Amino acid sequence: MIRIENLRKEYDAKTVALDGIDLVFEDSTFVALLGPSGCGKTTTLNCIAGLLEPTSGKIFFGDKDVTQLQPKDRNIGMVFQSYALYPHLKVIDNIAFPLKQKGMKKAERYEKARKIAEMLQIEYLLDRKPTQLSGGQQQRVSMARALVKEPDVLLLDEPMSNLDARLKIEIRDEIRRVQQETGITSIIVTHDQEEAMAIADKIAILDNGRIQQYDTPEHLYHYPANLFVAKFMGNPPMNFIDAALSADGTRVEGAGFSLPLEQHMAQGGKKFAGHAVKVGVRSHLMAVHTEKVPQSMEMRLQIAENLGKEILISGMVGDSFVRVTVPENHDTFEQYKAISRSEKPLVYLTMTGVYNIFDTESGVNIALEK
Amino acid sequence: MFSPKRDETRPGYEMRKEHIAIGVMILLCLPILAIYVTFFAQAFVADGKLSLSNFRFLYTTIVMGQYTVPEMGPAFRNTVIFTLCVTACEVVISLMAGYALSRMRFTGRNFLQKLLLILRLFPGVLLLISILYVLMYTKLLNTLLGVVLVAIALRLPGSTFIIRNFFNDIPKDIENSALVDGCNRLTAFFQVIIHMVKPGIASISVFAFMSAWSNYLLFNTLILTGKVPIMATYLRSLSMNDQMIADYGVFSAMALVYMLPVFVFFIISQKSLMKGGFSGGKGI
Repeated sequence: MIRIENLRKEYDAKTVALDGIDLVFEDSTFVALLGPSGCGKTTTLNCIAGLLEPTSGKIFFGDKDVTQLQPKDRNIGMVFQSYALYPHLKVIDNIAFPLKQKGMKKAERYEKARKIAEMLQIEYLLDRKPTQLSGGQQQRVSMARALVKEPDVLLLDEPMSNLDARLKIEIRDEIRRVQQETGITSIIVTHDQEEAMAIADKIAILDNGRIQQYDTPEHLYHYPANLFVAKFMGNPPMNFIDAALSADGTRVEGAGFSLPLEQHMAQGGKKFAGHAVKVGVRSHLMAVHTEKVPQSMEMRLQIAENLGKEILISGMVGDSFVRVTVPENHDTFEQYKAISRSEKPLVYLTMTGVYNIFDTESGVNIALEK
Repeated sequence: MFSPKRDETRPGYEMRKEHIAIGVMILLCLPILAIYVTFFAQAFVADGKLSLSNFRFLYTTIVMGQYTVPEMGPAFRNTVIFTLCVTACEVVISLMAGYALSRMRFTGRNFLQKLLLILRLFPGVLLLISILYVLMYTKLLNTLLGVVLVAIALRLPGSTFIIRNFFNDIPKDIENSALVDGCNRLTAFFQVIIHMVKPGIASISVFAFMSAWSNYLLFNTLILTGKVPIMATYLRSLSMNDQMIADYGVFSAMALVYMLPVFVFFIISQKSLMKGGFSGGKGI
């Protein structure tokens, strides 16, 4: 288990990279640090690796305080964005390099390097120099080098951002497979939320040097803790519809709609009664009706597009731009197109699944208020 | 190698321009070529015949009329010692200084870097008089050690600056990777970093070697007695002698011997000199 306590990193008086990070990484889990560039995710990783010294705060590997230890004494494996292979060494020597530093005999370390190369399916590359490898191959070599010393924790710093889209998915699955096979606690830094969702058991979302939310991918996706997470997670992005909570905090009211709050929002509703809010709902969790139905929102339809597997309908609810996707069907598509060209291009939306209500001012998800 | 590749797809006007350029280049090279030809001719021709007799100074003293040409041995030895000392010290010191300037953060770092550039702007000759006084004060005048120190000091800013740029080009990730893989800063430097600045080391050592080997100025001004002869001052003292001036053959032969090591050193190192940087694979 790795524990980070109140980690702070200031580069100078003005730039605070990390502003009190608390995280716990359970054994054998795969955790993603996700966030926009400059949010502090790589800084966090470098602090765990020992490449950066935190200004304050503590890092524990198990019960051992490693905050002041040098990287070489922490038994970590690290994969860098640029792979950072040693260009003057052959692949096998690259992989065996960490073992050489431990003073292991040549025969022994070559044997270990071979074994790990076999696991990553790169045995046939062992005699080449790094410059003779493609990006994906370099990636695998760098994974092998990180894993060969059987580290307590594997750190991956944007390992796939230099690969093309198809290779990315292949390597992503490879990393996931190797992590599950070895059971090494792994931490990956990424700015790609799809990558994080696919690979990680848990995701920590960072912004401005703070943890915004630390949770399982499913929970993050459906119950974002605040507006930032809601905007960051998901593609297409979540729809936000301007509204307000009624004075008694039991209904949410917006342009042309008034919905009663669901059971689990009752507490938050009371707390934020009367506040301006945004109703956040994923585009595929709404249904479109051509006739007015109870508890629906009126949308001025602007465009209906056929994306092949689904139809994308976009328009305005009040002053908020909303996108809805419905399953592809030729007749309904023609129908929506006709409506969008008509004089009164109105359709009616109902919620079909999870939605969240965020306080506009603080960004808090009132559904998670207890 | 000399003429451009015949390529029929290239337009004629371009080829004509190229021919003109080659013609001009040959014309410009001719005088230099002529000097080298006479130089070699004089060295290898004695009494109208092709012979190596001009090179006999290598193993014996030459008596020429009333004048005996002193042995080349001490001068050669001094030159070798001087060159090796200067090259080795310059490479080692500038490697360490360049690494520190490139990778460490300390107060005065920026100032030092600017100073390096400014020092490069001054021709070393300007400093000679003050250097003379410094050497007199430290009692190093007329000693090889004194000249070695001065030669290293004058060249250090330049080579430190060059090697610093090579260090700057090494991705931070590689060094971090070595640290994570179990190195400390020192072992990372020797096992990883140094291999990546090889072209840089080659270039500063070639320049250090060539400038040290052919250094004449410092010896002529800082060694006022004939106690520490080197090749350059040895050759000069011979050329000043009245009797000696007659035999250009021997003189050319000596110059040839003098030139040879530089030539060989350059041939050896030019491959890594040309390589420059370590671009190749992406991300490396």
